[in-house]
Order: sequence, then C-alpha cells, then structure tokens
Amino acid sequence: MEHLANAAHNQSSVISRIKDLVEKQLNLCVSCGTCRKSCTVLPRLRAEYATARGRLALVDAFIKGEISYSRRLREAFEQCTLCGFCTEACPNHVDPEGVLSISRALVIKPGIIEKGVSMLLSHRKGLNLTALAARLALMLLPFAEKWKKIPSFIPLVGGRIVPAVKMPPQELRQKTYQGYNPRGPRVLFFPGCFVDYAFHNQYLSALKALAWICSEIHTPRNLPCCGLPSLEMGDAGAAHRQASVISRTALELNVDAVVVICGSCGSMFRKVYPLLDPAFERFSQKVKDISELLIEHRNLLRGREKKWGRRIKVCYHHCCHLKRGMGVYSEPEELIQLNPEVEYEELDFPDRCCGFGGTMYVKYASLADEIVSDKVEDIVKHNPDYLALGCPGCLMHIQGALLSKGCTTRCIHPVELIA
Amino acid sequence: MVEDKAIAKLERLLPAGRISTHEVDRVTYSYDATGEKYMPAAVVFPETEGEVTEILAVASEFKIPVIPRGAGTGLSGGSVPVKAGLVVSTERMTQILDIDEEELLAVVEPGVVTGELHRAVEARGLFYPPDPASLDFCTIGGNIAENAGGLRAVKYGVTRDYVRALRFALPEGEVFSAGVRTVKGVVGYDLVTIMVGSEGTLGFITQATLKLLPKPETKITIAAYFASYVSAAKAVAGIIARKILPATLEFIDRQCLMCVKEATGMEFPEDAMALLLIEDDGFEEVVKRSASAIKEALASENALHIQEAGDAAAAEKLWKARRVISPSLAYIAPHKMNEDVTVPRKKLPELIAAVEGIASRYNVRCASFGHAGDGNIHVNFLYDKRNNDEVQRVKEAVKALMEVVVQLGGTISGEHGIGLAKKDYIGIEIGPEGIEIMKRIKNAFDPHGIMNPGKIFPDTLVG
Ligand SMILES: Cc1cc2nc3c(=O)[nH]c(=O)nc-3n(C[C@H](O)[C@H](O)[C@H](O)COP(=O)(O)OP(=O)(O)OC[C@H]3O[C@@H](n4cnc5c(N)ncnc54)[C@H](O)[C@@H]3O)c2cc1C
Ligand code: SF4
Ligand code: SF4
Repeated sequence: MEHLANAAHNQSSVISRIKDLVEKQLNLCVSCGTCRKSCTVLPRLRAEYATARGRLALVDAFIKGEISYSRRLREAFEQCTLCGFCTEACPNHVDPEGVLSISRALVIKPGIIEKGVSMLLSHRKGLNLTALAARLALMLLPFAEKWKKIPSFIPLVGGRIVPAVKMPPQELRQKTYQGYNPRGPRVLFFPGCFVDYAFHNQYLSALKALAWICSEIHTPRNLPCCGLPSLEMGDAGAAHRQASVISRTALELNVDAVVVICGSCGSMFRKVYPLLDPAFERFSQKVKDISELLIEHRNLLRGREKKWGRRIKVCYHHCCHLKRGMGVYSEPEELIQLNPEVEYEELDFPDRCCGFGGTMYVKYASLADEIVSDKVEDIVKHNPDYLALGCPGCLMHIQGALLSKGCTTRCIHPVELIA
Repeated sequence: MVEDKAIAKLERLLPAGRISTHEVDRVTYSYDATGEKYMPAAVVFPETEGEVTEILAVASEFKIPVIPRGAGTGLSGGSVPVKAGLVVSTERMTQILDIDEEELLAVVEPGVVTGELHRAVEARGLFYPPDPASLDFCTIGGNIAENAGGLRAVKYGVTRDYVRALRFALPEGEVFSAGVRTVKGVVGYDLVTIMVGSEGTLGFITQATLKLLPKPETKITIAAYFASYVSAAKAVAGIIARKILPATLEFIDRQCLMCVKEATGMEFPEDAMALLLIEDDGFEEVVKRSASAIKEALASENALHIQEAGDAAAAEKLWKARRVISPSLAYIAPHKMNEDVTVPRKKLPELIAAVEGIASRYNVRCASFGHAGDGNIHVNFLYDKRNNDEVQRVKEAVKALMEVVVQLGGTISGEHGIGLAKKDYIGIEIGPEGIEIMKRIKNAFDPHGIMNPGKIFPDTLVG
C-alpha cells in the first residue's frame, strides 16, 4: 500500500513539474506558424492539429480547461513522429518537440493496456517476459531467419516485417567486460530493448569496439526500458520510475560515460530526463552516443577496422532522435568513413524522418508507411549495399519497408561497419 | 441553431471527412499569427472548386460567416473567425496545375505554399519574385488575399504585380473567372486587382494564374552597419540617387539586432545602431557594377563596416538573421503591435525620427525593421498584455504613428492588410468616403455580408 501511495505522489509531482515547464514554453510561442514549414506529418494530414503550433494550442486549451480528454486529442499527439523539425525551425527558443513529448503525460489518459505495457517495461523481468512472449509468437511465422512477416489479420501491425526476437545469448549476458585499454574510460553500455532482444550483431560490434578504447564496460542486467515508450503512451510516472533506476545505477557505478547505441534511448536520456526532473541532469551529462565516444578515441580504432574483403557502398540515414534529439550528426558519418573499404554516398534527403515514431508505427501504420515510402525511394535511387543508421526503431521500420519492396539494401548500425 | 442546420446540410452534401466540428479542430483554427483567438462553429476542408461553391451556397442559404484560411500566418487577423461560422481551409487544395515555360505562367490552387512554387519554377530556370519572409509556410491564396509583399519588392514589386488571372467563388455559389493569360487585357473593370488584397471579404480564390520571370543569373549580398539610424536612411537614398534599384534593401535597428543575437547567437559590431542588408540580382557583369556603386554609397555615409557575402551559405546566414526578427522580438516583451507602415522612400529619415519621438512621448518600447528600399518599415510596439496601462499607451502610440504616416504621404499598411488589427484606423487614411465606396463594392460581391465578416471596416460603420 505504501508503495502505491508513493507511486501516486511521484506521478502527481512529475505531472505538476511537466505542467510548469509546458506553461513556460507556451508563453514563448507567438503562434507565428514557422514550425509548419518542415513538419513531417503535416503534408500527409493537412490540418492545423497536425502541426506543432496546433498541438501547442491544444495543450494550452487543455491546461486552461477549455477542452477535455478525447480520442481526437489523443490522436493529435500520437500522430507526431517527434522528429524535432519544429524545434529546429522555431525562431523563438520554443522546443515544441520536447513540449509535445512531455505533454502526452497531460493530454493522454493511459488505458489499461498502456498501463500494463508500461509496467512490463519498468522491470527487467517484465522485459524478459515480453520478449519471450514475442519470441514464441514470432517463431510460428515463416520468413527469413532474422525477419518475420506478421500475418495481415493481426490488428494494427499486421503485414509488417519485424525482426525475430531472441533472448540474448550467453556471451551477451555478462554484467561487466574488461577493455584492452587500462587508461581508457569506464562506461556503462545501455543497449536498449531492440539491441538487447533482437539486434545482437549490433551488441557484439559495440562491445568489441568499446573494448578497444575502454578499461571497463558495465552492462548491468537489471535495468528497465529507457522510458520513452511509457512517456509516449502518457504514463509519465512509469517513465520517471524507469529514469530513476537507470540514473541511480549509473551514478552508483560512478562510470565516466553512459554509452547508448540507440538515438531514441539517447535523446530520452540526454534531453527528456532533465525535463521530467532536474535531478536527472547529472546523469544526462554523462550520456554519449557510441559514435561520439568512438570518434573521440578514433586513433585507437585505426587499423582495427573490420575487413570486408571488398568495397561496400554505404549511405547514412540521420535518425531524428540522434540528430535533432541528441545533436549527433557528424560523428556517425565520420565513423563510417573510417573504414577504408567503405564507399560513402550521401542520400538526397539524409535527414528526412522515416515516420517510425513509436506509437505512430504501431497505431497509425498506413501513415508511417506513407512517410517511409519517400525514404525508400531515396535509398533505392542510390542503391547502397548498406544503409547505416543509429536507431534500431527506425532500422526496423526502414528495413521492413525495403524488404517488402524486395530491395537488397541491408540496414546496419555504423559501428557494425567498424567492428 | 442555423449554424447546426448549415453544418448538417454540408455533412450531407460533401464527401466524408471534409467538415469537422470537433473541438480539436475548432481550437486549432481559432487563431492566426496575431494570436487573437475566436472559435469557429466548424472547419471545412474542400478539395475542389466544386466543393468550395457548395460550401458558399450553403453558407449563403443560412447566412453564416465563411472565413477563408490559408496557413494562418497572417499578421492582421484576417483568418481569425471573429464572428464564428465556417473556417474554410485551403490546405487540401495544393496542386501546381501547370507551369507554362513559353508563356511564363504558373497556374496554381490557392493552398500551394509559396516556397514550393519558388522551388518548382526555379527548377525550370524561372522565377516567381514575391518572397514574404514567411514564404516557407504561407500560401499563395493568403498572399493574394493580403497582396503580400516581400524582400524583393523594391525591384520586383508585390504579389499584385504577378497575378494575371483568378478564379474565385462568390458567396451565392457561382464561380467567376477574371483576368487573362496574356500580358495585355482591357475588358471591363479589372476584377483581378479588386480581388488582390481583398482579405477574403469578397470571394474565395480557387485558382490563380501567376506571371513568372526568367530566373536571374546570379546575385550579391552586402551587409553594412551604421552608427545612427539617420545615416542608414541616408545611405538608402544614396543608393537610389546613383540610379541603382537593388532587388532588396532591408533596414534592421539595434533592438532587432539584439533579439537576433539572442535567438541565433550571431554577433554584431558593438556600436552598430542599424544594419542595411542589400541584395541585387541579374547578369554577372551588371551585378558587379551595381555592387561597386552600392558600396560607394554605403561608404559615403560612413558605414562602420561593409561586408559582402562570399558565397551562398554566407548570404543565407545573413538572411536567416532577417527572417527570425519578427518572431524573436518576443525576447523584449511577450506581445507586439506590428505595424507595417509605408512612406515614400525619401521620407524615411523623417519617419524614423518620428517613431523615436512617439516611443519616448508615450513611453513605449519599440523595435523597427523592414523593407527600407520601398519605404515599408515594420514598427513594432512591444508590451505585456497584462499591463493595462502599457496597453493603453501602445494604442495611443499606434494611432499617433498612423497619423504621422498619412501626413508624410504614406499608407498605414504596406503588406499585412487591415483585418482586425487595423480596422479602427482605416478611416485615418481613406476617410468616410473611401469606406463608403469600398462597402458598396463589398455589397455587390457579397450582399449578405457572409464573407469574412468583422474585418477591414470599423465596427461602428458596419451595419
Ligand atoms: C514570421 C512571419 C513573417 C512574415 N513576413 C511577411 C512579409 O515579409 N511580407 C508580407 O506581406 N507578409 C508577411 N507575413 C504575413 C503573412 O505571412 C502573409 O500575410 C501571408 O500572405 C498570409 O498567408 P496565409 O496563407 O498564412 O494566409 P492566412 O493568414 O490564412 O489568411 C490571410 C488572409 O487571406 C484570406 N485568404 C486566404 N486564402 C484565401 C483564399 N483562397 N481566398 C480568399 N481569401 C483567402 C484569409 O481570409 C485572410 O483574410 C509574415 C508572417 C509571419 C508569421
Ligand atoms: S512553436 Fe515556435 S515556430 Fe511554432 S508557432 Fe510557436 S513560436 Fe512560432
Ligand atoms: S516533432 Fe515532427 S511531426 Fe511532430 S510536430 Fe514537430 S515537426 Fe511535426
């Protein structure tokens, strides 16, 4: 009972903090509409509710009690990929993307399903259980070994091509790994759910590359999900609890850096945690995308790059959360080009959003697919052997779309080109 | 209520998904860039001209207001539904129907974003000059309805100079086609000109035929800082006196520079009171000659520092500074009265001196920038809505400004239109006779007064 009371208190203080922050930001918005200019969803939805300005007006009306919870209100927030183009466009220091992501906690009342999912994501056992269930379900499906096609009669996600879920193999279940560089940093490596339970190649490459530059790599096996999905579903209390566990663990281990391989976990850590609670600031400052750390120590990578034995053509997709969320864009490109076998070619629109957006991918499949089709067109035009990208969610979405189209381009993380 | 009946009828007539009465849509179509808010009864999203005429016919039948809306970036409240009714959005009428390279014409639907038209015609070596600072997110329909100007107006003129023909729906539901595709045409009254700048109060524009030019070969961008407003204004006169008409000639005062610095982190010389941003375009040889004449004019007014952008990226950086000014004034105070007054170019020094006088007389904060090359200066009185006393002083300052501008032989709105924001001042410029004639024209187009009611004319004079 005490535990529940604590949780409720925690939930309400998170909400009131979010409200304060949002109100401050709303005061800065002059409703000029500049954020209409590069919004990912506006050209498809073609209505003001689908713009940052419109959504800000909705939060404002909601806070003032002029409108109340509704399915449309919820959709207005869910149909946003959190791509951050609005924040880039705003001339006024408003961060609409940040406001829109934390405002979900105000305008979306999580239902029983969302609460349940949030609960599973909040604990390691829950994550394992979810992964196990997904694994069993997907095992029944034929397709390639690594990718599965969900039958079209399944609601919401039917027809999608998704990665086969696997429990991490024994070699990935250690809690610490020794690096080869005794004077190198001590880090906590946070693989994120996708890499933990599906993209094990990324995990292995990351550990290998980190071992070249680090003295110690901690991979605690008791951490929950980063909290982004919970927040997206409107459960800020759960997101805050997940954040507390992760940041406490990292600070107790006293590591020099917290390394991520997923731009979405990274921007959650770096940008959103301090919005949820200023107490997470100290943790947030330690967070680095793996490409940032590797490029800082690039001299240790020289000569060790993975040998492919042939020239490979590679393009790079800037994931929104990595580029605009974390502010990381040059390092992954540099990393890719460290491998002398790589022939690097730039996409026509390398930073255009792929339309993944978490809830968007699950609940608004046709919208997400419409958006990714532009991306696929750009990739097909360049037809690389590999498309490198730094966020497994986008990777799943883009790779699924490429496979459906019968394209041979394979999606990988930049670090897989190196180690 | 009549509105409910009209909405129910439209729901029956229009294809599904065209009309919404949900509060999510009503809230998000209650404002434009002025921040004024009034909720409409419903929002309609027509996809064809036929649907627009149906909407207008039903609105006429039930006598409820129709408020045309583009992107809602207007700065005079034009698309704000002050009298509720139906906000009719052009966001689903976004086709570029034709680009005619022989006749140098583009035919577009009203919801096309201005910047997209620029890109489409420039890809074919053509040029659509009107370039409001909002071009990346405002629409052609809104530009025509406000007769939008832009940075290049000095040399190339405003939207009106590029509209050859229009199709528009009238309130009774009939469609009218005005204007011609040819350069010349004198058949009866020039209805195109009447529609341009009509702020959605006469009819609903459904298609526009726009004039294009060949794209200039190259351009140069020059920035010059001055230690006083007056020397900057004199430099403008000096450029024109040398028989140079640059494409763009922008003035930015110190307050604005400070806000840009806040917003972008850009640095400016310490002692700069004003910045002139100048651009000219054309053939390489011509542009070189005008660049040297411009620099000569700037130097002879003792510019503190003259800088020529070496490449497109450097030029873009300077223009970005210009584009962020308007919204970034919020760093000084949360609210602003943005006046787009215009005076004959040679009266600029007098206008600038008068603005300084007004600001100190009424004790209000003020920042000015704008299109010095065509005498159009955006004077912004900055205030906090919660401070009643300040609001009152700002109102008086605005009125004083309007009076000065008219005395100087200028106009109270160069490009943003009257809308809600300036309707109380329109009489200062055109007098009761002017208002009377305009109302007769309005009656001829819109006998029931359903098109964008509550705009342009002062309340006291509207029956
Ligand atoms: C940051 C910023 C910078 C700006 N810079 C400039 C500038 O440099 N120069 C300038 O001139 N303006 C400028 N503006 C003002 C604004 O962008 C222009 O007035 C623009 O033309 C408005 O277009 P819109 O599509 O947003 O129209 P809206 O604001 O939606 O509507 C404006 C008016 O047009 C009417 N209207 C819209 N579509 C139609 C139609 N199809 N038929 C009939 N009436 C219609 C509406 O009823 C309303 O009265 C700026 C605005 C902002 C926010
Ligand atoms: S969020 Fe920024 S760009 Fe968008 S309307 Fe508000 S001030 Fe303008
Ligand atoms: S985050 Fe992206 S999709 Fe969402 S409002 Fe901003 S620009 Fe649009």
